[in-house]
Amino acid sequence: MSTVSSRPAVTLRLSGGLREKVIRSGYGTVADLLAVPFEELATELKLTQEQSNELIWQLQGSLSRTAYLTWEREATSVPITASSSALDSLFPRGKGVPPGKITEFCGRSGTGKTQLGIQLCINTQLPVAMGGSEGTSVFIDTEGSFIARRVAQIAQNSVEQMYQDMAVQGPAVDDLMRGIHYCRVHSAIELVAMVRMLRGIVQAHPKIKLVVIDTISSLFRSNFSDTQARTRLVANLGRQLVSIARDFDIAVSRN
Amino acid sequence: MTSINVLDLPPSVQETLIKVNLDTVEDLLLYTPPAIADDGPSSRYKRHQPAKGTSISNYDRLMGLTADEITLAYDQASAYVFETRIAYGTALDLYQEEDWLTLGDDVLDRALGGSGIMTRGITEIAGESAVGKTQFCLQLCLTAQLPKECGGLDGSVVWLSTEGKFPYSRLETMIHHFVTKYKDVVPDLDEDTIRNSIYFDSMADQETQLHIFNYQLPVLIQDSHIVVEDEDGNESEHQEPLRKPIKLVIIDSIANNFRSELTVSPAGAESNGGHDSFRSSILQRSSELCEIGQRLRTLADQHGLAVVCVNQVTDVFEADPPALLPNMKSDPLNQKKPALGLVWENTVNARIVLQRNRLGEGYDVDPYAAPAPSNGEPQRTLSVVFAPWTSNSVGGGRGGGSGGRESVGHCYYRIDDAGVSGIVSE
Repeated sequence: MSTVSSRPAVTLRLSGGLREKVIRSGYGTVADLLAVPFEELATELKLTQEQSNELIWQLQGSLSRTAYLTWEREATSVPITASSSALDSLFPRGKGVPPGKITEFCGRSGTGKTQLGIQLCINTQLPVAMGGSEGTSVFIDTEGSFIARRVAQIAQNSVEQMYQDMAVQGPAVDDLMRGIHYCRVHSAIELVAMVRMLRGIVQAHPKIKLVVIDTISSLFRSNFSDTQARTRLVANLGRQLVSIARDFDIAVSRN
Repeated sequence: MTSINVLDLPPSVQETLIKVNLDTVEDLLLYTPPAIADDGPSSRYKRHQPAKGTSISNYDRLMGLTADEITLAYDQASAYVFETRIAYGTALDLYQEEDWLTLGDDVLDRALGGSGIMTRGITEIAGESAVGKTQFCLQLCLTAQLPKECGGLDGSVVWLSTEGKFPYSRLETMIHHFVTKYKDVVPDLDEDTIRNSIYFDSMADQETQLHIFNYQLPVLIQDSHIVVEDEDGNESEHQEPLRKPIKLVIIDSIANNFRSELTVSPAGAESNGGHDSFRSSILQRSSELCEIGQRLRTLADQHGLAVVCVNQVTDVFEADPPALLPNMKSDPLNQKKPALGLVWENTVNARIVLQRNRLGEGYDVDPYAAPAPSNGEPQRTLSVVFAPWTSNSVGGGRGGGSGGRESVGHCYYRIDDAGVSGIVSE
């Protein structure tokens, strides 16, 4: 952290009034600003709501800007296993679906995209030693292929497997099922709204470590005569997902 | 479409949005002005160019709002849609509500994964003519009316046909056997009630079909789900609603109108033009298919319906076609695949394929040495090609050749007076 934070506070891209306040405050570097709890800082500098938003954005931005920090963050983050060493080995660190990024799985009907998504939702909840991240997940279903009975089956198998391999009594099936937030969206508009709400949901449930969208394309296949609008929407969804993934270190997989 | 009046916006913001024609929640969410696209503080939005298609003056007026105001409107619209339309819960909640529709036969149910077919989604039944597709659907019409304890949905049925009349006489025979079979378990099963709980309509052409899917079907289903309340606001018990809510929709068949009305406009018939015109009508068909699929899936989810679509099959003209089922001896003259292509394949949730070998031909279509067909009946096979609820579907990506004789996803069946039943293989 030291490398970044020695960055002088003046070099932050702030608007006029805010910059003045920061400079006058006597905080010389980004590290100094970060050392104080943000609420105190905001009161001390008498920031307006808008200004404090801007400042926190810039401070956060400055953190993820160096390659070193990015690397450090990646190296300590916990990937989610796909329950198959062959599949896991396809990912950068050989341990499964990486957090902080969007991973896409595509394939024909019946190849197991939905099943993989469900498996990831279960695996997220496993202990770190078993390739999970002890978190929960959100499953956004656009097709209706999320069958709860199948989820229970997979959960049951995972618990049994855990018992066999590690002689650990894993979480109960019901708890695993409770750890998957599920929502069904029926139209592109609902998907847009859902993704917009996602940030708040993730903030409210800090344990969420995985977001699955099954599938991203199905709602954009009909009713769009204006392809430009469609492109803009999809690009915008992608951008929001990337930013949620980055800010909260969540793995997003869309099928 | 919902007016932005439902949102709690400052009047000035609301006025501006209406001026730039973003007067419904839907428009607002689909519009995505550049400032909203950014998640950070939007002081930089002025650098973005207006989106194409938005007139500059409208854009300027919209930009008269501060970034915070736009974000507020957008967030409120999102929250509104989220709260009013999106069901959000845990997988456990869903597990406790999930219903299944039995086929009324243990062997068949087991082949399908245990409890029959899914609700809240589209199941496709594909196969050649005379393989028994309609028989399966008729059977589902009956079992859907069983109470939930018996694996039914305790509901009524809509049957939409593109292929002529409803098979009344066949239904009559089946109803009789059906009532006899369940008499002990469900004493109040009544032949007339069963007949009255099946709505039928025919869709002779694409236009009628679209109209039914877009207007009539949603209204019919919605009305059937309204609980009759008496004056005190209590659910009336003595005044039993005449019909049960609709729980099953059957479309027999989905492909017919699309296939028969796929036209190439005569104007473009020469050389290159013909190709383009064919392409555009295929594109048109794809988008209609997607739309119907999305509509059906939405209805299915909102009302807990099972939707069953019958599909025709088409020949495969390839030198080395991929086998529909693993280790099936490939008969170059007998290769089939479900019609309507990849677009439809991506729309259905589950696909079941029915097959039979032709009567009189000694051709061994089936790899799993079947019980000898009795009295010269053709041998019929049911296979689950893909289904989100089973672990090993026969034609799916996994374990191609491993499908054992007893495996889930595959069985033999026969058709008799009572309907369709599975055959236990030894």
